[in-house]
Amino acid sequence: MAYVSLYRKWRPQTFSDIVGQDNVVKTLKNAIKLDRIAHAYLFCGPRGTGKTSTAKILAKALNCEDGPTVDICGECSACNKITNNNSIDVLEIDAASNRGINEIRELREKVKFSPTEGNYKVYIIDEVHMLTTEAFNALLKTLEEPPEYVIFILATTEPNKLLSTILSRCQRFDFGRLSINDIIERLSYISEQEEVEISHKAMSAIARNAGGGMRDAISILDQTISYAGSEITIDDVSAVLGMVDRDILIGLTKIMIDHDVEEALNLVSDIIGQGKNISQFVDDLIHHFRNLLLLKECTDTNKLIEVGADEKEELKSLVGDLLVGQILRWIEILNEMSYDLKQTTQQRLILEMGIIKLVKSETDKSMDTILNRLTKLEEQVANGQIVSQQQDQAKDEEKNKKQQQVQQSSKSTSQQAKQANSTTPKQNDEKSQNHTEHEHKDSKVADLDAPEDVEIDQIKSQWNEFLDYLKKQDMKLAAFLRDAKPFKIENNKLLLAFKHEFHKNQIENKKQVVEKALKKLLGVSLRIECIVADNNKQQEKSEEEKVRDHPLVKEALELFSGQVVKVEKLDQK
Amino acid sequence: MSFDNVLGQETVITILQNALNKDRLSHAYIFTGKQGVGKGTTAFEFAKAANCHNQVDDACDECLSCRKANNDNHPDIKEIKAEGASIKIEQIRELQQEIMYKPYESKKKVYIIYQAEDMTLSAANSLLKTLEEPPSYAIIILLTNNLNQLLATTISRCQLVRFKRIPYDLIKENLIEDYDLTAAKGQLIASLADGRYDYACQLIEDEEQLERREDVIEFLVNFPNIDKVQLFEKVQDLLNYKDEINQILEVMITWYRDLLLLDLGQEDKIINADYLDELKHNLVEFEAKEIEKIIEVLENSNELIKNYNVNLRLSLEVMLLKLKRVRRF
Repeated sequence: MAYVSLYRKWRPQTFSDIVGQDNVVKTLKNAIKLDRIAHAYLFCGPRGTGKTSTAKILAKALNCEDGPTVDICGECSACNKITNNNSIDVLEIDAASNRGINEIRELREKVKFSPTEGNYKVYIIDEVHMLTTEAFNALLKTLEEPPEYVIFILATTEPNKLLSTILSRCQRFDFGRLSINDIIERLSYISEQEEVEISHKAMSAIARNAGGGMRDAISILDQTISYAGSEITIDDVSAVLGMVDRDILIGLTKIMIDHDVEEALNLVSDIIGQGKNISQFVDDLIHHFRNLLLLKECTDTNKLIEVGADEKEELKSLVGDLLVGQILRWIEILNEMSYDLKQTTQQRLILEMGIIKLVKSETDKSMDTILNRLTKLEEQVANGQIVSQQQDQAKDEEKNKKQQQVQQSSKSTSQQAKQANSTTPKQNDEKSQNHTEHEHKDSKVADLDAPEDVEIDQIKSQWNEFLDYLKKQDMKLAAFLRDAKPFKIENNKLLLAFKHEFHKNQIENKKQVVEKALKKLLGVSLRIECIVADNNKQQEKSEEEKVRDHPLVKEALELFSGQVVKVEKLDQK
Repeated sequence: MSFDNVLGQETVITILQNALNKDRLSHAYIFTGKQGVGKGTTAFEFAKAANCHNQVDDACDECLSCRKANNDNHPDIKEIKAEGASIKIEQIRELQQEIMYKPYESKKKVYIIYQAEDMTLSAANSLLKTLEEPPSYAIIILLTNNLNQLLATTISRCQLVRFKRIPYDLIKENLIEDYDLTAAKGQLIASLADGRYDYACQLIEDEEQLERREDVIEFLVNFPNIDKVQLFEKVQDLLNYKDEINQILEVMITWYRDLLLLDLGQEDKIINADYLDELKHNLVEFEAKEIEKIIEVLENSNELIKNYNVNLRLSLEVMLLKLKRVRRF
């Protein structure tokens, strides 16, 4: 006999073959045993869950030579004919192709004739949701009161498209998606019969990929056998499905924790270059984060997570650095991505944008991320990780002392820190401040913002050293910073003047890294603000003044002989 | 003409040749992958190989069957394409009738359905039963650019064969060899093609396409300085290229993607590498958030125009106005 697809070859032939639909099978069996067979059944459920197969088995059970029975012999001529689709009494109708009223009229004519061989005449109407409204209505009367020997079995994936008058005339059975274990069980049975060796990992990958459809699962198995022969490993399944390695998922998680956009994009172009299945990758990622989430939240995860022990350990080590809100946010972004991927033909672009969003999710300014950061802070406070400012400064002093020993700088930084601690502003501080102000030809504004604990000269003198230090941490960042000069300090903010807009943007994206490094090396906690050198003057002129000086405003004031009461900044976006 | 003709799809060819060698041909396949990665060629070669008199796992191109196929008059290799905008239920009904007749002269009767996502809902549904249990000699191959537009019930009945993008280097080398290009031009076209060899060939053979790209990019570079009146004039321009509108939008999307990557300091991953200076210049005008928003707007319009029956002029106008509004000034 010619080769037949595995999913056709291994169609369930008896009630006991049906996997995962216990309540359906039990009800049908009891109905047969108790002789309470209805005249119309509706089988609905997603693809590959066994609707049509169950319908055929029911037909066999009714027409088997031993009379209606739950133990189908599978050998008598009636059973054989039904299996081979050539029984006169069991008619399988493709409602999607024969969807008009004429076909239904024809059917109604034929219903009158009693069965020729078996006990019952069984009409299996598959894909019944595609019948036209007229056809449905023409069927109603027959469906309600067919001759006693006629049984209708309607099968569909979309019961919502049926008329309520149809639904109310049938006994409805809902077929659920199959669980992963059910699928694995069946796959291992089939591969045993086919004399194929397949690893458990491979089977569970297939089962996860099948999305609850047995036919999908067997189809993939079939294809993998064609691809790999009689020994199947997880690698073969990955190749056929275009799946991404688990290691890559874990790698990406680490990248996301580190906020490393460049690595992330490299990874994406690798994945695309290797022709991986992008939607599959995103779904895998969602699954991966779900596992992380469960590990974070639940104590007993054995039943919920299907991964090996060593992998679990690896996941657990990742979880430590993560917050629940963050993972949820990631999953949300991925879900959005997964939806967008289905709409688009530009999958690569959607993936790139999504990954960028994931990696940068913390710097994102949306409400959710701000909430996230808030909870992170709260958590830290609760754990006592945040120390009060004074303690902090004491720590800084210690650090500074250490530094001093190394570099013998002219000014003792620890003293300075102490100076800053005391409330009275030090004169030399002001002097040096004035000095810098002269350089930048602007004394008015800066006078008001005397530095609180460091002065710009100190930073300037240690700037090169700072760059060297940063270089060890982040080459790229240090390179961008070379373009910048520390300019002045106001409101506890260090202004950096850049020559190029591009470099400025780069640093702005990674402010925290620079701030952290500043704190570590110089022992000062300053915030960073970046400006482009050419715009210095405009920058310093306060926004309010700019508005007041605007010719339009002046003219308006003159026209109405009014005065400016308040200058308010509006959100421009 | 044989499987050698298919560029850069080794995994696919292995799957198909193994199936041929082991006599494990499935009755239904779905070939999925981007437009222009070689699905059509592969399907055709596969059909030839299945019927070839001399070889088992490839087409010999010499036997009667292969020659007939090459001349497009093989009686047992049938192709179904959209009639007008879609593949209609009548075409599928015809297939269902025809498929019942045994092949005239060969082992297998092969149906290739191009752009299977173009099937109407009723056509797709009516194919289901046939797709599940066709006669033993039949093979049905569905080709699709977007798997997600097929019914889950359709997909579940077929073996899924995924075509990947053709690697950049492979495209480049082949282009330079086949068309005798300079290395620079080969690089440019290979990166524009984004894994689609057929599209790359189109770009070379149809000079206009490249010119159009230049036009679009010029427009984008000047976009910040264009006022609304000029915007409407541009829409009028674009309407002259009704059939290529999706490609034009694609160029626009790629441009902003490049901007976004440049903003992140990823200069080496840029597609429009020949316009690097303009890109850098253009970048000053935008913030990352704005670029993301722009891409979103473009994506949306692209989907609307492709999948729904929208008024092209209106949707383009709305799109450009939205883009204008995204910007700060």
